[in-house]
Amino acid sequence: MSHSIEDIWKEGFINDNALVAPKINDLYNQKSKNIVDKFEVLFKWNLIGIVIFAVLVLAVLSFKGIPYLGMFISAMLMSLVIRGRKEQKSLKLLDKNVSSYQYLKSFDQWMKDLMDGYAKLYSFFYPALFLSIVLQFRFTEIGQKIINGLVNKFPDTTMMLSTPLYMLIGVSVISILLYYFSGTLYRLDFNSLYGRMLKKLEELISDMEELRKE
Amino acid sequence: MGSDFYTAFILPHAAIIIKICRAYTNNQEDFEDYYQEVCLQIWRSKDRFKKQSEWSTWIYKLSLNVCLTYLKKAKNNQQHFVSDSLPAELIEDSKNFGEQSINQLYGAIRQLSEIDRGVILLYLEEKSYQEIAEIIGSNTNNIGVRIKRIKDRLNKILNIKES
Repeated sequence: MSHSIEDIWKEGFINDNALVAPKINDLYNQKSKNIVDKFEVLFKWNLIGIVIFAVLVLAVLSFKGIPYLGMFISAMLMSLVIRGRKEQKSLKLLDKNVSSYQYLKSFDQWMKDLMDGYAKLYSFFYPALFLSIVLQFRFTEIGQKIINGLVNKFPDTTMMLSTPLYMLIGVSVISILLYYFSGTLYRLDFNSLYGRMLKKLEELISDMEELRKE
Repeated sequence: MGSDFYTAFILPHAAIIIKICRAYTNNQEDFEDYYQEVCLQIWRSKDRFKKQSEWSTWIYKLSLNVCLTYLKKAKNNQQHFVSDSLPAELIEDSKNFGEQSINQLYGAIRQLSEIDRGVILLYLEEKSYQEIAEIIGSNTNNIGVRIKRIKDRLNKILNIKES
C-alpha cells in the first residue's frame, strides 16, 4: 500500500454510501446491554425480588406460628432493600458526559463502593440470620427435646442459660466465622456474577492509566 | 425516543457514530446493536449536555463511552494478536464500506486495544491532540506519543511504508 492511513481515511469516505445510518427500530423499548443500564435493570429486579421474599418469609413464618422470627428476618431483608435503593440513586448520578477515563473510573469506584457496602452489611446479616434461627429453634419443642436428651445422656454437661455450654460455644464460633467470611463470600459471589464485566473494566482502566503515564 | 429528536439532533451526526461503532464491531448485526445503543444513550443523556463543548464533540465522547462499556457479544471484540497480514476472516467480516482500502484500515483498527481504537479514530477525524486528550481523559503529550505508536502499528499491519 502506498497511501498513508490519513489518506485512506479521507478518500474512503468521499463517495461512500456506507455512512448512511441503519434503520432503528423501537429504540425506546430496546433492552439495553450497557454495563450501567444492565446494573440498573438488575438492581431493580433484585430489590423487587427481595421485597417479595421478605413478604413471603413473614407470611410463611407467621402461619407456622413464629411471627417474631418472620418479622426479624423480613426487617433484615428490608435493610438490604434500603441499601439497594441508596445504591440505585447513586448509580443514576454517574455522568457519561465526562472523559472516557473519568467515566470508567467513576463506574469502577461505584462498583467498589457497592461491594464494600454490601460486604459490610452481609457481615452482620448472615450472623444475625443464623443466630435468630438458632434462638428460635432453641425454644421450640423439638429444640427443647434435643437439649433434654443430651443432658440425660451426659448429665455432667456444663450448662449456661439452660443450654449446654459447648452448644453456645459452637454457635458463637459459627457466628464469628460468618462475620469474618460473609464479606469474602459476598465478593466471591459478586465476582462469579459480574466477573466478565469487572475484568473488562479493569483492562480498560489499566490501559487508560498506562496512556496517562506515558 | 422521539423521531423528531433523532432526525434533528442525531441523524446529522450519524457519520460520527457509524465510524466509531464500526471500529468496535466485526459484523453488521453487532454494528446495528451498537449504533442503536449509542442513539439510545444520547437521547437518555441529552439533558446532561451542558453546551461547554460542541454537540458533535459531545457525541464523540458519549459514543466512545458507550462502545467501551457495551457488552453485546463481547467475544467478537476480543483483542487480536498483531500480525504482519490481516487474517482472512477479518477482511471478510469488515467489508462494510465501498472502498476496499478503508475496510482494510478498519480491520487493522479492530486489532488495536479498545482505548487505542478510540484514540486513532479521533485522530483520523482530525480532532486536535487537546480535544482527544479531553475526550479520552489523558494529557496532550501522551496522546502524541500514543498516536505515533498506533500509527506505526497500523502501518505494519497494513504494510504501509511511510516516507
